[in-house]
Amino acid sequence: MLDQPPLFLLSHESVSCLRVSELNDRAREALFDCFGPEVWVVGEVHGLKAHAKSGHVYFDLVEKATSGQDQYIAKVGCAFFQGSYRTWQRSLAAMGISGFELASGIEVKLRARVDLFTREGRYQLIVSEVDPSYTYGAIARRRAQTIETLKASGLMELNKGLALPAIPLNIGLITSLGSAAYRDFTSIVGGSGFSFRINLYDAHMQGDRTIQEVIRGIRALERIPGLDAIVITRGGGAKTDLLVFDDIGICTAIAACPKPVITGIGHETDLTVADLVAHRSLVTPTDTARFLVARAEAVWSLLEEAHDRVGRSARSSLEASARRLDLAATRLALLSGTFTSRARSTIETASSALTTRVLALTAIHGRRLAVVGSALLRQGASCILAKRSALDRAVMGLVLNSSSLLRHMNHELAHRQAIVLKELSGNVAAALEKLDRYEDALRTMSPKTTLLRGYSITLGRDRKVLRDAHDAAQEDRITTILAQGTLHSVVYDKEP
Amino acid sequence: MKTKKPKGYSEVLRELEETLEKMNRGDIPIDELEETIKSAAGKIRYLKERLKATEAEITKVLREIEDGDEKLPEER
Repeated sequence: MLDQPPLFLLSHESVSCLRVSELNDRAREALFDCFGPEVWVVGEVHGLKAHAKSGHVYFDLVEKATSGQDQYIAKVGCAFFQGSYRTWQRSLAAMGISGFELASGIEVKLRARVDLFTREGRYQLIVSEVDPSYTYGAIARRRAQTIETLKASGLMELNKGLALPAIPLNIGLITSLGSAAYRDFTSIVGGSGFSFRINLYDAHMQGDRTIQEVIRGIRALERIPGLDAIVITRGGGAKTDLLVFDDIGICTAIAACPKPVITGIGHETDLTVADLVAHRSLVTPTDTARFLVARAEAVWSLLEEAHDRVGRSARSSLEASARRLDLAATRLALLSGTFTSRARSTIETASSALTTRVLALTAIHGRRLAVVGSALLRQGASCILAKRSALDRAVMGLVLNSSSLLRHMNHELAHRQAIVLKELSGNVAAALEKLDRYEDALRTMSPKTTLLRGYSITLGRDRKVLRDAHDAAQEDRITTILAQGTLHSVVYDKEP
Repeated sequence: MKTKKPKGYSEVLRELEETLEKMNRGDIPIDELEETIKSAAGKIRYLKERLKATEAEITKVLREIEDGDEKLPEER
């Protein structure tokens, strides 16, 4: 009934039995035979780890399904040992390529030996070089693809269309806490003197978690009420580190964010797609902070200017009122001056009367004091002397006062006299003018001027000026005076 | 004002004005005209001199008053 012998019996006889190490060794050799010393492999870098002590770099090379985002269909472990890594870096530098570093998420084309780690029975790629041009090409392709997708969904200009407040003070900040970028940004903003409020979302800005954390940061910050803008910033780094900012997820989150997003991702030459969709993109964290401060300063200086203008106009109107008050004060002083001089003359009269009285009284008192003084000598003459000198002082005061009044009166008199004299001098001038006019009249009346112009004067028989033909009779002898000489003639005919 | 001047001034002025009035009316015979004008001109010259003297006098007194003012700077 048993047509076939049991399998294990068969194998036992025909195939030699191997120990695990032998198996692995043979598998290793088979791999060498199959792939040769080295092959070129393409894939996406994942889970990059640099061993700090040894300087070896380990990562997985992954092939993703074309449809799914994070689904992979194949994966192989890679080791980039320190020696090869150094050699590769030096060759990059020799080719003039800088800023290219391995990073999770980038696509690479690498040259490697397919090797099997016999102890673990695990095969891996021992990398000797990575071709940067392939990665750059992949970055460019991915970038173009992201832009295409954003354009197709109309997201490209969405965030740019938002209005950035004139003074953006309430800021959402996505960066790594404690990084140089964080310090640069906060020190400038904090030292500006404006009351910026920073809401930090601490996120990894490089490595595998960057995309997820930045997206989560945008979502969290955009919900904060009264937030003016969101800043995404990081320090400079490898160009390949920037790849995450071409990611469709981050770019969509930025574009769709209801707050203006400002990027400062630290690169000088190429803009990432995140920069393109953001409201505004700047280079470094410092630039970004300065941009916000400059904006606040611009508004502040406008306010200051307005304040100055108000101050100036207030000052000028105050000055105008002060001038008006001065004018009023001057007028008042003039009025009161007239009043005072009138009052003064009254006082003067009164004071001279008083002086007379006081003098008389002093005389009487003096006499009385002399009498009393002699009687009170024992009680002390000094008392009397004091009283006497007080009286003397009073009298002196009165005398001095009246003398100053007198001086003032003299002055006033001189002033009045001057006014009268000035008036008189005006009259004299008028009289002189009148005489000038008479002189002119006299000159025009002098017959000489008339005669010189060709007129003549005819005198009648009675030597009086003839003005009418009636006044002369026929046969009258008449005299005609010319400018030069005289004619004598006889009237032989006349017409009325 | 004219009362302050010596009587001679107003008298001479009156004569001058009368003469001018007569000349205006043509009451002066032509023979006398030359003489009358000469005398009128003389009167005008005399009156002007008087006025100028008065003016100088006024100016002098005014200056004295002003100088006196400067010497009295104290005003109570």
